[in-house]
Amino acid sequence: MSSEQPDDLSDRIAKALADREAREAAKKRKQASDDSTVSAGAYALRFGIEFVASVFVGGFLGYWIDQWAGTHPWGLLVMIGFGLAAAIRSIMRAYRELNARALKISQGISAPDDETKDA
Amino acid sequence: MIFSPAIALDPISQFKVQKWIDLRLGGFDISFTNASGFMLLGVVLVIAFFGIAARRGELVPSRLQSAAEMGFGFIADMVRSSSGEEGLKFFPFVFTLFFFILFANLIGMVPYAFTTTSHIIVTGALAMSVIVTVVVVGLLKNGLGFFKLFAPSGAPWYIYIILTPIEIISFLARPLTLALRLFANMLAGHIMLKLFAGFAVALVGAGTIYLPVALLAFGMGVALNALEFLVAGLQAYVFAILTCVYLNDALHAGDH
Repeated sequence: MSSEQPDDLSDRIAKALADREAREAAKKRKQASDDSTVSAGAYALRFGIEFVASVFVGGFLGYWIDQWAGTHPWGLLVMIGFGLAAAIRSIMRAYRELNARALKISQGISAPDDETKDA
Repeated sequence: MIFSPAIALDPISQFKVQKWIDLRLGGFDISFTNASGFMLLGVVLVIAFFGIAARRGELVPSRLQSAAEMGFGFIADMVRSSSGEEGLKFFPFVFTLFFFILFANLIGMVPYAFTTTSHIIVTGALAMSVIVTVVVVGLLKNGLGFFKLFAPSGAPWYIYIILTPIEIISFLARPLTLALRLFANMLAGHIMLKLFAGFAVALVGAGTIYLPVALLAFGMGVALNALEFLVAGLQAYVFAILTCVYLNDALHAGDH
């Protein structure tokens, strides 16, 4: 009987497992960077639309306040200012998320699943 | 020639809503249009796809069944990772949204089909359904604590004078961005497709000298087609994940 065989087999299993782990890790890293390329486009689209929408909503609210309270044009002016602030805030938020993701990917950790924590 | 260049280069007519069956109800025009038809087609296809895929329920799945299971798992993971276990209550909602939009986008890629998601009334209605759900869930779950969403804690009181209007505007901008993003992507994409395909046809018609340019336009059209398939999936994904994020805010409004 070959008493060597079990050892040999467990060695081979261990090696195969280690190989697979390395392969999976490489795959995950690659996938993470692929994901970031795809969502870079998605983010780029997001920025523009979010900016315009915030200013638009601010302007609309201002117009509505003016109609209601007869404060023309001050409501419009102030609320467009707030709209701009909201737009810049949302872009800064998205920018921080992107930075956090880029940092994680460069450290070799797979991209977090909760990529758009707040939009 | 079937297409005169003028027709080939009209990229807008593909979005025209046409009545298929004229219907009226109490002064409202509720005609069954091509938009209704293609939305219905999308719903029927989604139901048929999952119905056929889940019919057997084999342990070793067929290709169709594993595609359906992957879709299921994909959305479940998305909901769980962005709104937690609690968010899984809304899994059917997010799942329906994702597949409705995905199928609507993909149906739009079939030549001569109508792209329902390129109409802002459709995407707007979808976005409103999301935001109404968020507000109702937020109010039921947190009561008036939902309004803490507009006043994140940890700032001195005078900051709130500026911060609260900003947060309210951000919140109100959400349905708008949700609707606009999908609508603008689909509209712009389909206009581009039509334009480049139209260029190719028109240039071929214009004479042999323009043939290389026509090939260029044709190549661009092919590339855009591939891009549009990517956009179709990506926009459905973005819509679904943002729904999850907003639901997460509604569920945990009192926490921050």
